[in-house]
Amino acid sequence: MKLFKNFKDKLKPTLTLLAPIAFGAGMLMSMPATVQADETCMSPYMAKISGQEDFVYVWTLGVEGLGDGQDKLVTVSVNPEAKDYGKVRHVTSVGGRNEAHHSGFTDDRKYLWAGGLDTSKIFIFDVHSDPAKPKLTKVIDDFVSTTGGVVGPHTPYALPGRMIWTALSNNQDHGGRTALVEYTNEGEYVDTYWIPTDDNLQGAEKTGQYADGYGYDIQVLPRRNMMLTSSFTGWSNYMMDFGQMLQDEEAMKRFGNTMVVWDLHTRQPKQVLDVPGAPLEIRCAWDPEHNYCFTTTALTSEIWLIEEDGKGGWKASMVGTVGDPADMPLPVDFSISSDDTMIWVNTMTDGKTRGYDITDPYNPKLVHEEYIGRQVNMVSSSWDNKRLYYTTSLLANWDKKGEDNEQFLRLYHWDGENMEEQFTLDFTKEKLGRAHQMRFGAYSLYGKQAKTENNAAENLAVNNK
Amino acid sequence: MKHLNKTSLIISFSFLLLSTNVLSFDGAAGPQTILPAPGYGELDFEAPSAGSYKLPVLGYAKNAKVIDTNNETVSYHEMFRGRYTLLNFMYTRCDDLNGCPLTHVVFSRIKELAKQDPTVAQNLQMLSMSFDPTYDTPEHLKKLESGLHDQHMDMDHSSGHEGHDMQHGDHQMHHEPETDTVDWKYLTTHSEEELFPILDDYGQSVIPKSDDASDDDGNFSHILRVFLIDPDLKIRNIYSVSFLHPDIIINDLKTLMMEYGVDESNAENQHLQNIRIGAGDSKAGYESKNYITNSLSIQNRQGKETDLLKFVENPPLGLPEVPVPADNPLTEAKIKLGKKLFFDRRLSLNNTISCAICHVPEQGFTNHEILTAVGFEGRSVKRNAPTIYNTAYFKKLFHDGRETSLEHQAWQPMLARNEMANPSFGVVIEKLRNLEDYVGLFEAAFDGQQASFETIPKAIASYERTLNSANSPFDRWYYGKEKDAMPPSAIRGFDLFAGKAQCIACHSVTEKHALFTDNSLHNTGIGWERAMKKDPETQRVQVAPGRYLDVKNDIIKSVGSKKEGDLGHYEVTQDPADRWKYRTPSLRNVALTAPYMHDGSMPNLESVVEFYNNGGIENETQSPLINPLNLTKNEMDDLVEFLKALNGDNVTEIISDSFATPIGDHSNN
Repeated sequence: MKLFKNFKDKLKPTLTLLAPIAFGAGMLMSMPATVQADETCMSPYMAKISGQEDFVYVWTLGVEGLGDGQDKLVTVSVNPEAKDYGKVRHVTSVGGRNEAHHSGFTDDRKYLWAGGLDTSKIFIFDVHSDPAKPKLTKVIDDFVSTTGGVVGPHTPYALPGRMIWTALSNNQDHGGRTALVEYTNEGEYVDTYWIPTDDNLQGAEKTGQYADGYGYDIQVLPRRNMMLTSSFTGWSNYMMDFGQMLQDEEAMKRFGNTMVVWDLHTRQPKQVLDVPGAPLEIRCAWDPEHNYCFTTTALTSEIWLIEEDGKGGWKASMVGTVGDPADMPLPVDFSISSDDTMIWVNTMTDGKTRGYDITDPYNPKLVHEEYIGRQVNMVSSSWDNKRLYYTTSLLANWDKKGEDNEQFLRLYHWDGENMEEQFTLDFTKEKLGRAHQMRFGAYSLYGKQAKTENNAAENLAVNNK
Repeated sequence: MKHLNKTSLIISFSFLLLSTNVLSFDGAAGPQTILPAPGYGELDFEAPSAGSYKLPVLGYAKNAKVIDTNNETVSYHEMFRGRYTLLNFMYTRCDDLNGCPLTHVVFSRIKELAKQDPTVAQNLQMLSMSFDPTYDTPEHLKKLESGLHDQHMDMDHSSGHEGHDMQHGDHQMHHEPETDTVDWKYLTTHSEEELFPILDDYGQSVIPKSDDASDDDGNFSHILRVFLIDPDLKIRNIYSVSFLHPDIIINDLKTLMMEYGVDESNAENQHLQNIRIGAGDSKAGYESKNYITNSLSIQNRQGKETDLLKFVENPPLGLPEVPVPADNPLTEAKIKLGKKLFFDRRLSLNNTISCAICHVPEQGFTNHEILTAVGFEGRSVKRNAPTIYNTAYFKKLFHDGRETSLEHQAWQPMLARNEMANPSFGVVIEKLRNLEDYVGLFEAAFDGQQASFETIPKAIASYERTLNSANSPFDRWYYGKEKDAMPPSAIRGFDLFAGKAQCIACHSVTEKHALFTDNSLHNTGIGWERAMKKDPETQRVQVAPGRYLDVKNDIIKSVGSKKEGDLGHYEVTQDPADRWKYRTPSLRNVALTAPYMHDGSMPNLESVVEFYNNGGIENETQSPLINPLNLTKNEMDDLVEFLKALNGDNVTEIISDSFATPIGDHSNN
């Protein structure tokens, strides 16, 4: 990790005041070399944890006939010093099966916003009052009508004082044309930004053959005033039985083939780039001199690099493949290390995670391959890249069927050469549901210590100082 | 500035039905020295030209439930969405020269100017919201509103630029149809309790005047504010006295329309020209690496309401009289209510699926994007969504022919576990009875009856019964005797259709009209093959434009649920002879309703014709009417050309009408 001493010195008074919370982007790079723990895919505007994470919040899909059958936020104790390490600390059920999918914190990390791709509801949890027991404080259930017909809030992403959501669909044909939606941290709707289509490119340059108007993930590079979005598919497909969809010739035409480069400040689209085969997650490099991002394409199993083109714009190029694309491994989530040397790519079909050395971003090299389970979707890496958490669910109707439908949260330690399993929490045995996205929580974020009350469950928590 | 004289103003206002003291400038409360605002005459400066500036978003136009002059509840958002709106707050007893009367004059002038400017007329609406519910009742406002329509504005038809004063004497009547004028509606509330939150939302400070000198307790102090709201519910300008002028407002409006890409040219037919028949997200050519997107934006999916009843009262050429059940006569109110229901996603248990989600208007009232439908929580529906066009004539509904009337049919998708998934009739009925935007609608359409087991499907059926589409090139050629209405290839195709290919045996054509269906069921072999064929080892899956993979069937099976069986009409009769029999679809608009067959397994008309040329798929209960045809390639091409000549001429109008229908979504406001 690079240290920027001058920068750090300048900010010293501020940093002292803000300790123990560290802030993202360049500032993060200048922090003392204490152990940083958090996903490396989150917004650079986000407050970060210093020290070991205490909790993983797993946004979990309810399964009909399992437990209470509804979506829930599952808080898992993950501090090794806690007596309930690797166990469920708390569960908040939210009502209904909403196709729980992604979640994200506000920039102050006080609230966790979690979306439902089916009902388009957004659930806002207070995670700062008691990090061990997130509390549902607000439900936005008029997302579709307020936004002018946007369906399927997908990824919440923290901007200063704001939350910007990508979405996947619309209320007119349940296809893939969709928009970005911005809210204030308080949950007030701000604006809708439609992804450019051919009849209304909104001033953006269509650099190739495609401008499909589809959405999926979002990342920003504030130092380049750049916001980048990717593209997936609409409600009809992401809700459909996966096996049925693979045999539906029309449905298979309805996948995104684009990424859009936006002006971060004005939220205006600048360029539509061709990235065929459903480019999903975006991971941007952290080093201030690394002005590039990666994505992987789900259907064509490729790794793409998005970088500046030297002419004031951006370009996308394929730099590698994942597994054997002919076997449709289906790369889903991936994670980038904070020092920009590794990406971990999960593939749903073969249940593997693959580590690629990306020191040379043009030539990702496979350096590790590990079988995680019969299916795997999400991976969350600690900031030091030493702890890797995995979950299994992709979408309710896309997950494998029968015995192959394993649902768990599993932690591995990575020492640079080998992965060692630490614990597995079986979400089916615990009657919880399908384990999807993970976000980390810690007492230290809020200057708190673990409570020590008579309550047995509370006693399990420890001070992480 | 050229001001107007007092006399002409008073005369101009006479149609307002305001009490005489309103404009009495010598009354106790009337300030004699006040100068009329610019809105009464010319601007001192030239309004900035349209498009030369930007109108930033000033905020979000909040929703409100109000009542119109028919005493029906309407919502701001339903009215605002998709249109440009001028909204003012007023009360009819207002006597402040530069208050409500000013707005009224400016609105009147805009309405007049718009008669010469169809772009404005078709895109703008003006809403006058009263903050005096006690006096401004719907009945009272209705008189004013009808005054607006009946009264022929006797103001100068030019803008103030030419400097003409408003004259009362010019009685040149202009009887333009309503479509050429700006909609102007009055709105009010039932009570102050309903009103005050709305005033708060729009920053309207309204304080009753306590003026002892006047005996009139109906006056208010208020600040004049008129809001310009864009189609996405954003406030784009707020006009005060100095800037409330037709020239400024019209240029602001045009500036916004440019931003939204509204082309001023040929505005009369623009709403029709902008309609694309087919998916807005076109995937034509996706099989090739050379595929280029041709996508339309969601926010420009706008249309114009049409009178659907005419398609029943005068069925398009080629269709017989529309059968209408005696116990469900068609009325405009019922059709409109049915249409609202058809596009309402709240009709499903979790507010995600409307009828129109599977029967997408621009996609032929079917769905081009999936072979078989997807319902509640993504549950699989085993068959392709059939079109709604011309269902008024069908004696059997659903692919398996299990239902007998549109009224019966409508409940099934609402209750089916894999469609809209409502757990009971009662849940739907109660939900509709409690939705604010449905208050009074059922009662108005059904002679006082509430939403009920009977009225809900009757309304939906009434809308569906109007979607009659014909007067196609074929109809004009065959029934209209227009020689050139259909190209020669299609004429050759019809000869084959009725002759060598024997399509007409099931897709009936009679002397006076043609439904292109025998209203019967047949086994072509497709259902049989689906049920009986062995799984292949690999399946070809498209992963990007022009890119395919042969995916192992084991992989597909590992992520797929077991398919539901499908035995066709057998499921209705339990008679083995009816296995894999499906309803003969009408061929009207068939070029618009891909993918084809009950399972959506054929992507285009060419593949369908080829299928029949090969005699379908032979099996035990296959219809004896289906045999190999021995058609040449040219003959098959001609048949396809004929099928493409069956598109009705009102399709664009029907699509536009559906685009103008607000989509019902859950709302907190």
